Amino acid sequence: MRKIVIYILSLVAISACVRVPSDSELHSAETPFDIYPDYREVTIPVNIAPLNFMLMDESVDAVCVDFTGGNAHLRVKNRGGKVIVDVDDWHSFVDKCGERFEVDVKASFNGEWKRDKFSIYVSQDSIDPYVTYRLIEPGYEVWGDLKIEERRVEDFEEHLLADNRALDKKCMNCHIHGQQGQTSLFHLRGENGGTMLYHNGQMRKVTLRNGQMAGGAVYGDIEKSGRYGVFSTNVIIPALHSLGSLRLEVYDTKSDLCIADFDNDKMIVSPLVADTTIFETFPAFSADGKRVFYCSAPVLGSLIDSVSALHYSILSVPFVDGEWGMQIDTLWSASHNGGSASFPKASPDGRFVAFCRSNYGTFPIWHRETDLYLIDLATGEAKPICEANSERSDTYHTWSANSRWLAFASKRGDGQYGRVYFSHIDSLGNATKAFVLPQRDPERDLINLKSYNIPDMSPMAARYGHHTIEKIYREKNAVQFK
Amino acid sequence: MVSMAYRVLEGTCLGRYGIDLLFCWLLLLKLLLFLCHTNERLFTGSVMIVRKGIVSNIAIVVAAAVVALFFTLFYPYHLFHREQYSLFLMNSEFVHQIVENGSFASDAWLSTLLGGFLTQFYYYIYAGPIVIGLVVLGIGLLCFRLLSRMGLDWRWALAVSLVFMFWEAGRECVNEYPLASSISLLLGFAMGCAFPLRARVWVKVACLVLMIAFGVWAVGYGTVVVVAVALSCFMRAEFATLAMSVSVVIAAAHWGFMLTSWYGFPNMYVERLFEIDTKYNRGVEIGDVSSSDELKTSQIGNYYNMLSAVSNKADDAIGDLQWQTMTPFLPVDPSGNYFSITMAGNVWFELGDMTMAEHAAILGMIFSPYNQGTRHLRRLAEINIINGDEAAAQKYLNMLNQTIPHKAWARARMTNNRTDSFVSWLEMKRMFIPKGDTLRSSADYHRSLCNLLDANVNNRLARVYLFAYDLKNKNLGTFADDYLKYGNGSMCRTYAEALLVAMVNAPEDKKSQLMKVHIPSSVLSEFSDFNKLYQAQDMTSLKLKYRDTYWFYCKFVK
Repeated sequence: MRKIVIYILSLVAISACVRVPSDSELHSAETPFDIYPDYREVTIPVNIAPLNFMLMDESVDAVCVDFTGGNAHLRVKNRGGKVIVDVDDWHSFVDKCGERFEVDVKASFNGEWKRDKFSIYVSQDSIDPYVTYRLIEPGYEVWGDLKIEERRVEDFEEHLLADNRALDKKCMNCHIHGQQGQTSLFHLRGENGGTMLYHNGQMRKVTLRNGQMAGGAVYGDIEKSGRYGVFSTNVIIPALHSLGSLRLEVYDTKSDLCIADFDNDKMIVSPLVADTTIFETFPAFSADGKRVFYCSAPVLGSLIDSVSALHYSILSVPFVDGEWGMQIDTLWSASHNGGSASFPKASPDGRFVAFCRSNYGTFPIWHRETDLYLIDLATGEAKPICEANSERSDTYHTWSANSRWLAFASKRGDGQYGRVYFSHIDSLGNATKAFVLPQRDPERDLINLKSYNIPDMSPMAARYGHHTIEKIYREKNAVQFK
Repeated sequence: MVSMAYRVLEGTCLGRYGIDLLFCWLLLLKLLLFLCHTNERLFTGSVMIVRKGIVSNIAIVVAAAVVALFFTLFYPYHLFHREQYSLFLMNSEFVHQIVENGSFASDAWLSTLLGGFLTQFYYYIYAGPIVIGLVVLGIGLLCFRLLSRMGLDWRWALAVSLVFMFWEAGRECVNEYPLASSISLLLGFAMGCAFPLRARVWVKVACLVLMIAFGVWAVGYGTVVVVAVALSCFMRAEFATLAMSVSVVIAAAHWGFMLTSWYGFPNMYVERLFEIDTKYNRGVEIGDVSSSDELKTSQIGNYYNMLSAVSNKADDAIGDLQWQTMTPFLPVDPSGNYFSITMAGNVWFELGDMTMAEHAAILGMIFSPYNQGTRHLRRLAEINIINGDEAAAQKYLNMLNQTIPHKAWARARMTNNRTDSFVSWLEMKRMFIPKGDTLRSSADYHRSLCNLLDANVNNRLARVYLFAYDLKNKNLGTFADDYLKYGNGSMCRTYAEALLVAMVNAPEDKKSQLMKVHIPSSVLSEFSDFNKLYQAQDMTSLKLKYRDTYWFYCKFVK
């Protein structure tokens, strides 16, 4: 019996080994290997998790990959086409490899070894170690199971912040937080719902609405100090395109802005940004918290017939000493530039505003032409972030705390399921080729039937979990803001 | 040799499935003989015990065979349905996710893994009953062995085993019941058999703790079997109460998650619905769906309408539609369930509205028991191929390529492998999809159908549904407009009747257009007669002569 066990174990051990092919066995690949995710020539932060990837060819039976940079070297061998790197080995390699390393991929295709090489650039600008996102099926109007998860980007640890299966299947909006991570929130819709607000070390359920507002808070942003949050209130209508490739359109029939004072539990509204003849939406604070950027378009008639004429500009309005200002400025004009702007987001260093531009409308994730743009606030110039954009929707972006990384959701690849991508933005606004959030197993994205919705980077981990949310949802009444 | 025999027999009247079934029954018979033989070897000391063992095993095998035969002959479509709403990929990451997350939400990864793996064989119409038969057989044999070891009289042990077998078979009749739950029970009995009944107390306690720990982690609610076994043999132990309390608390905290349904019975109406659905899905002739009892339900009616409209090449297909008694469209929103939404998606797919079809496929998948299903992946792949969105289609095809039952289907639809017949089908489907873009709400059926007809006025199915929708809702003005725009010369008795009513209330310009439509003279004279009887309030004659006319529907049916 013991002999049999030893024999089987030996057999398993031998079969698991991948030998390193000699140079004479290796042939250069006629065409570059088809790898997923595409990590060729990308720029990565020094603290990113291992860039595990796989060869998209069923005939690959073994891989041997050498990562070489500076004086560092790392070899990974595996049966099959997946290249999966140990987290500790990876970090010790990237720490020593310098600004660039080479990936020498040797793959056996039905026993014939071929080789392909590419480079990866390493930026010493670290990325925020945490990113939160909502996992949602790309349904048109209706949700099923929703989760808000926090992922550590330095490895593959995931932390569940909320799961609607334990919240009576309620709809949950995406998670946002202040630049320092000390204030964060997400909306939980429906009966017994409210905004789950983490502020001053306390988690509360609040109602961000008062009698002067047309509806509850929807899209929003948190001011640098964490005291204020700016929100839009939207009456949202979904409609379907008859052309199958366009799928869904979502538009507002009403939208205004408001600011929540989390210290005093009150809403601050102004008729200036609650004009019934104007749509105001997607607000965001400037880096210093003294202005609010937002998108605005004139109200049209029956939007179901004229949504293609709906074009949003980016405006800004002062917010000083807890009061809305009176002067509205135009940052980006739709009539002048063409298209429609969404989601302006100021970089924490105050230099840039990133936004996304679609041909029309206010729901860019379903517009495949949507691209990311960058406005240089020093010059007022706006330009597309070509290096990061793709032929599919690129949107829902967020800045890292050091303003050097942009995370966003992109539907590149399969066109249906959003994934989190990162691109490096230097101090002059130059971007690098975007790369997808690495996964423990690269095939995970390919078999996942959920979209990563509205990524949000944070320098620190959330200080609560799904149990806290479930407890507050069931046991606490929402605090009504005045 | 076996392969040759298989090929020869396959050519006979038994067919491929029949031969599969025969081979499986032979396998079961061989297993039975093996069990008898094993009993004989184990109990050579007592002829009586051997006979009891043989009798019990035969009874258990017969019971399993009865269960399998029931599912084969009377209940096969439930199993197929369950495969359609599940997904198991032969993929290390997929398996890893199950091991990590268990039943998509909880523990019991081993049961979930085995259940998921075996459920995919439900796709094969005869393999499903075999799987159920073998699982039930395993439960019966292990239960009998366990009870016998515990000293129960063999007759009682057999009776209890049979109760467990039929109880589990009944639960398997419920369409949302996971096979993983039966596997959990099976593994629970297996652990019970492995429990050392005659060891020292500390050994028993150690085994119990380990088994419960393993059970709640990997097996699920079946772990209660071990608790029950331990409880019975700890009766006299001094610390039994404490140990059992701890064990029961641990097990109770977890057993509920796999025990999704306490009992179940066959539902032949649902089986009939699944039969129609399965045959539609497989492109098999469905046969007669015209029983009035069946048509009372909106779901079978939905299929009846769709199949009637698809199969009837004549323009008067509306004559076959059950438009009077049911809604032409099942809703694609949370008011429906995953199955009705999926069925509604079938109608939109046949009509050519790929946005609505995709909307329904995704919603059907979202609302299905495990939020995934091979059926929806197949439909989503087809929709995206038709729409020309190859990248989206490729994702679904790649996933299906990693399943056992759908691998060949997926490969045949990958870009470089498409056959001429598939390409012809694709071209045909593309002829009917909208060419221009319009926005509409998902419940705006009229606009959706007009879009389809604007794209292709020869979309007969869309025309039939549009007219049925107008007539059902008594929107005669809209019907007249739609008829003039999309009628394309089609005429049937119902249209003629409706047009006459519409003409009465139409403004002059439209009336002059409607006058040009040829209405059969017999219909004209009957309309005159109907009006006379209506004015005379002669309900008896109206019912007698005009009960089936649109005029009667329009005036009297609410």
